[in-house]
Amino acid sequence: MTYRDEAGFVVEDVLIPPPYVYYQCHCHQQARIPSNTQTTPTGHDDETTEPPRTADILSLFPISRTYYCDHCHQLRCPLCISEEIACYYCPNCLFEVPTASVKAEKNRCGRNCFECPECQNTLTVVSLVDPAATGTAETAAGGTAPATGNTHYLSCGACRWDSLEIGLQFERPTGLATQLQPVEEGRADVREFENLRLHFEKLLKVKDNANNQFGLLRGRGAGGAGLNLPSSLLASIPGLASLASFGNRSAASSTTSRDARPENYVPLTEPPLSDDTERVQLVREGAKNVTTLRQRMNQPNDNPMQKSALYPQRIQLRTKRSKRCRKCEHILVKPEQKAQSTRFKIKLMASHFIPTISIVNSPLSDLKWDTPTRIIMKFSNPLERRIAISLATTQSASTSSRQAGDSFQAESNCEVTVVAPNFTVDPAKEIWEYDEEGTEQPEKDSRGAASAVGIHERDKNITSILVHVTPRRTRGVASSRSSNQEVIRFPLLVTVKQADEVPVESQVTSANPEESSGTGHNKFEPLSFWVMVGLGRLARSNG
Amino acid sequence: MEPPITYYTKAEYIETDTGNKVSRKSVICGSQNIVLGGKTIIQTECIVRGDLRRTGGGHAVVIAIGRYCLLSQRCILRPPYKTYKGVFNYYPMKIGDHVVIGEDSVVEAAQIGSHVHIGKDCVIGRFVIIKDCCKILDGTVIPPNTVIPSFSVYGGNPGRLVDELPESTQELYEARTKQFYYEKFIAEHA
Amino acid sequence: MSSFLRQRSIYATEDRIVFDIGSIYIKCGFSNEPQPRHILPTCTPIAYADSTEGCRIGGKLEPLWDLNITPTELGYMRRRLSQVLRDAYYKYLLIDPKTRKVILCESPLLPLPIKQTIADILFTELEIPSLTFVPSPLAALLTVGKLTGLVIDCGNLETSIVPIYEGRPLIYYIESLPLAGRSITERLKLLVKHHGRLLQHEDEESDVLLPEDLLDSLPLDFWEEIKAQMCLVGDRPSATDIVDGTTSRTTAGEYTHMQYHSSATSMVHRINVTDRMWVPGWVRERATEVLFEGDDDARSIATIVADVMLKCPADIRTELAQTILLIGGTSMLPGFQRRLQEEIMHALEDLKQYQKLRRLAIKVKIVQSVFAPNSMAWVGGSLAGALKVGGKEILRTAPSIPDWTHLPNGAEAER
Repeated sequence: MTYRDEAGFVVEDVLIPPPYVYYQCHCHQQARIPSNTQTTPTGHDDETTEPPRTADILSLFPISRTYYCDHCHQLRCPLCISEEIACYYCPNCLFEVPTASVKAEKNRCGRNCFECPECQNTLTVVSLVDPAATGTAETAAGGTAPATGNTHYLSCGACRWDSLEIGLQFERPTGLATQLQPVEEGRADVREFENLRLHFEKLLKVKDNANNQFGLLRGRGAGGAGLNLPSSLLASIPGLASLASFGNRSAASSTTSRDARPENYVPLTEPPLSDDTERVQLVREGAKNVTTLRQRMNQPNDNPMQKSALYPQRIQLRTKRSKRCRKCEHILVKPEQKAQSTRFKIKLMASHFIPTISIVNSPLSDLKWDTPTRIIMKFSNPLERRIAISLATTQSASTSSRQAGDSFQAESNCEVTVVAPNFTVDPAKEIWEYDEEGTEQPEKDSRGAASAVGIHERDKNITSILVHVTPRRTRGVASSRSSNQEVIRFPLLVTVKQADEVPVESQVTSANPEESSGTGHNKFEPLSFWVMVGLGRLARSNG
Repeated sequence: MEPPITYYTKAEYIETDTGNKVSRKSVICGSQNIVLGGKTIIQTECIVRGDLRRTGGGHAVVIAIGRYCLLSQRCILRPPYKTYKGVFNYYPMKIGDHVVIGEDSVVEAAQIGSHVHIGKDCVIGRFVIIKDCCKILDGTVIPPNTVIPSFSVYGGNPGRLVDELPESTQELYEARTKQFYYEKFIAEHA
Repeated sequence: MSSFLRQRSIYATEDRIVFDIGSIYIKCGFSNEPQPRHILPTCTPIAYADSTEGCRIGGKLEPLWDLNITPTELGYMRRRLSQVLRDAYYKYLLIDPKTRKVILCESPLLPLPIKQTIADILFTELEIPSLTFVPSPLAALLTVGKLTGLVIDCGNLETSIVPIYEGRPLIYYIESLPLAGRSITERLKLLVKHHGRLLQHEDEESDVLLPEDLLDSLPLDFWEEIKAQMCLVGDRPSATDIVDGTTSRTTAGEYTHMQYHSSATSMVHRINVTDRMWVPGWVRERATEVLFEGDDDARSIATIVADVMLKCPADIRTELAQTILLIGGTSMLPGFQRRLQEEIMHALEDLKQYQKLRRLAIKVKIVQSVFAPNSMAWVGGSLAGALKVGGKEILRTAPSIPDWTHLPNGAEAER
């Protein structure tokens, strides 16, 4: 549901249910620039980033979906990466399909995988066992074991549809796709299309022979207003030379020969005119046999209205994709080539580089208008270095754009006070990832003396801080169609820097400060990004 | 966003030496045919049917569950069955590591891979194969004989593909199940 | 006959991707194929509650754009369209966008900012090599093998009439009307609110009206489903078909629309687990009357067709009248073609302002085709791609969108 607030921003609340902490990468700013100007994007500097508007809600992602380009030292979100297809596989039989067959089979599985036209679930091959037949049975890929019966058909486990309803049977239990091929190719629209293509190609060729120059006819001025059709199609109509002279060379029209006259196209199959009466009658009688939209769109060629015209489609293939940063073309994610393996050769996810932020207590019931609530936010450090985090909100941040202050004030509907805006988080130790029997519980808050105001707890590589939030009503005016509830949310600017190594007496971990592990850098550059924190919903009651 | 801590009375759970925590109030049939990988939690009122085994002698593993799994309350695990050439048989069920099965779900799958999260009130049909790193949303009904490839999210009734999971799913689920076992499932002494 | 599908080289990189982007459905596929591979509804995904994996499920169907679009809506539309196009490439067409040129079927009335946004997404985010625009009405006309005709595009947001002569759209004579799929939905909602009934649990009949908040909560795809399954277009109503006068009073309030007799049976559609909606037969048949009644200026689809014919030069009118082509999803409603023909003939014969065209009435003929009307523009684009004709090819290195409103001699199109 959408509504506009006073500033004219479109606000979408329903799309992400709270509580959430969603990250944003810088690419959203380029998207907002109108596209016909070819300006270079300016939003690269960390200092000039703008906080996310609520209208950007579709460009926010949780940390599990964001990537980190270690070449550009930036967050990357799914909208600003480019993907390449690594391999194709069938989701049902899990067989890998070579690229050549993919095109030949039109992105569908060429083996026995079909989906039910009624409920789009996989069909299994069932055989009518002929009691007289003998012989051993083989197991097919689908798990059923067709015997050497005479007829085989497809059956759906979910909705009990089977292909006998439309009279579809097979002779062999394997290679069903090849058995269906002649049917698919003999369809009326396939032949019609081919006929049309030949007809027009003939016309174009005739034109080509008649004229040496390919006199292309431009549309009436506008570049896209007409097709570049040869002028012979126009000139051969007597009495219309005037129209033919729009923007083309008139010399061409006079030399066109008579036999370039386009013959009228005769369609290959006359479509039956009574189609409509049948369909009208079908619906008039009340739709037991009428298909749903989804079923119709699954068969885009004939969009059948009758259930008896539905037939099973082969199952669509799926892909494994490798992802690249669009700016520097470095690979961010590279899966293994085998279709069934879930490992990755390269996997640069943001959660390995950037602190994960989450809300510890979710104060869904505690939120009230104009009442301060305390929330605890947890920051966990994935790196093996101590990091220092600085937080800033729109109220305290000095954003570069001049009108930022007031308009973003209108955006967020709560006042946020971060009690401890600067704090450090301890490094993660690799040893904690191994599960050991009776793992020693690391001393909680060993630097108890150093616990400053606003820090709730320190534990291993996690720091929890206190944030006070007071929901305030925005100046927005809701339209009658909007929901009565509003999500309390606020943007937060997080800056991550490397903290100086403070020598600690008891916990000297990895001895050498410069380690060459994948997660650490020799030179850790500061990184800042905006985060949108959503807390809960409040009824937008008036007064 | 953080899950709440679940407390349990120490007396209610049996803790094995491999770290499995099985509730005494759950119904485990045929426990000699069930293998738990270690650090797996079976909560109250679960039903695990290890007694439905294929005919024929020998010591067969009917249900094999991996490590750090969580079987939530009132979930039901039943091996799938089939009548093949006139003979009725049960087939073994194998579940991988770091699998979470939600409350009130009925699972009759043949094979569930690792790092799978199954929601509440789900029904997983017979001979379903769920590969690694998948998520089944709450209330989904997966029809029998479906194959769910890796990194899919299935939802609805009948279950359909609704989304794909990110690449970080494996470590995310691993961390989640480990966190649950070590930090969020705390014994309170009565 | 050996299939032409196999004659093409398997490694053909000449095939282009053809898109036909409508406001609620996108048709996509490869050129030189007789049907689109997929018809995708433009749903905005909704994040699943409390999922750290960030699952985005299914979503609500809503139109990508509206007839008047503001810049903020444009930004929002851009993100949604970007998501839909990515899905189209990576989940459905299964191809790298960088490897194939793109043909885009565009409606001549598509506002320029939307065209620019689409081109921008394709060039900058998906990095396609080049883009070619093909006008939809002309493409659709190619699929019936003709180069002259009157193309009526009845989509979701508006109906447009485009006369084409010898392969050139006569853009000065284009007419359009915002009466299309969406207006049918609105009228259907109104009629169901006043005349539909709520059946709960096992009821067979009931007198309970449908509660307003239940009706408001029903998403657009529910109404699209109802339209597709239940609605039909009846013949021109005669005087005996009309029940009431123009005003009616029911318990849901007062409204001013007509009620009819009808031979269509009533139908029941399931809303959710407990509730079902009962719809009387006449509502099913007459919800589409909104397209033919005439709005405040007494303009209906039939009258604007007649207007276009009046505007066109006299010598081509006959040929146009004999080659009327209906495209667009809304024209697939059962009975639409027959009714429209009837309405056009009536307008030409009986209405005073079209006196000059009276003789054309009997020549009016709607062309039939074996292709489905909602994908006809797409099939035309595919045909154009196969023949390698089309508008100017726009390369990624020099993107510039052709603007129909600007003519080379500087005159703005008068509309």
